[in-house]
Amino acid sequence: MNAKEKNLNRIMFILSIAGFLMGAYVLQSFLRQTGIICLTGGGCEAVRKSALSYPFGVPVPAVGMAGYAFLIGLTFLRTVNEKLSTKLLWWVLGMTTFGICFVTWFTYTELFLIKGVCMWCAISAVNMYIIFALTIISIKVRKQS
Amino acid sequence: MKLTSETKLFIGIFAFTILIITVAMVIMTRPTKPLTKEELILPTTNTKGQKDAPVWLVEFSDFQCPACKAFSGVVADLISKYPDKLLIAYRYFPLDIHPQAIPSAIAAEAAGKQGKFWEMEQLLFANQERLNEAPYKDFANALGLNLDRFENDLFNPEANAIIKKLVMADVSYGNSIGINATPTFFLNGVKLNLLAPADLTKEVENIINK
Repeated sequence: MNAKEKNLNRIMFILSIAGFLMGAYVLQSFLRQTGIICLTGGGCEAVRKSALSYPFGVPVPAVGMAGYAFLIGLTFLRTVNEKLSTKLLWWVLGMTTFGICFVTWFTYTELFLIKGVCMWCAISAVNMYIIFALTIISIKVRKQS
Repeated sequence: MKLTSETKLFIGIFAFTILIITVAMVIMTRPTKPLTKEELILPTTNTKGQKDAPVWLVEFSDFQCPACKAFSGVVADLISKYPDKLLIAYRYFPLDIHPQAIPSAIAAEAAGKQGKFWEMEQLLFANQERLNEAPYKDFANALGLNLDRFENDLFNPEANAIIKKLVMADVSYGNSIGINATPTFFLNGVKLNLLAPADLTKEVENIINK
């Protein structure tokens, strides 16, 4: 990895950790049925109490945590082995593509079905879009070098 | 295996994150000082039971919140079971997502001015699914309230503003002590973490039977 790629990978790693932590905070609230600090009024509560936030019985923040954990692992492994780095970048692209599809579906669900927006879910959605964009930039940088 | 400097940096970031989480968890799980009775139960707060009861339970609630309805039956059972040992207090915490949360709180307070707060509370929860029709006059009729006074409290802008100010003062206080969900209970000043209505009975009876 060249210097630019390294920086991009570092940012993706840190954003993935941030996403994982947000997911952990919201998941504990889902499991303990306790309130969530929310700047979007009662949106977080509406989302937490909706059955739509448990696709196939799995709380949405658990899906987010799993996705971010996978990204943490991938971005970390890219630093370990230079040969694997390119291959793992495609894995990151696959994961973030699934990620943006998932957050887009859930944002739609929040806005039009639950009719409440959870601040943490919105931040996490933006976070996933940023990681996806950084992945695309990383691929371009790699192709140029 | 020899680690690259980049890998070491990532391990460092990860270790730092774990450290921050550990510190945050220690701070967040530290027991907080109980709130005093004077802080939680104001002279204007609606209460039921013995004023000097050794056990006091304060509820922050919203008449349009389904979980609050589930808990209201438990609270009513507790006070009828322990009328001499327990004091219960109701504080308003209407949520923004419920359009009738504030009007129903005003209706309850207006009934309270005529000595029928708890009767109105039960009616509001029992008819929660009808609250969007704003059936407060029907409820006042059913409780035998003075309708002129009740309607004045609800519809006269000045009287309504005074009651609304009282309701919103409860909300401000609730926000200041970190309430972000309904219902939230304080038992002898200690915030309870409850998963189900039955847990409230257990917590209260544990203290009463100590």
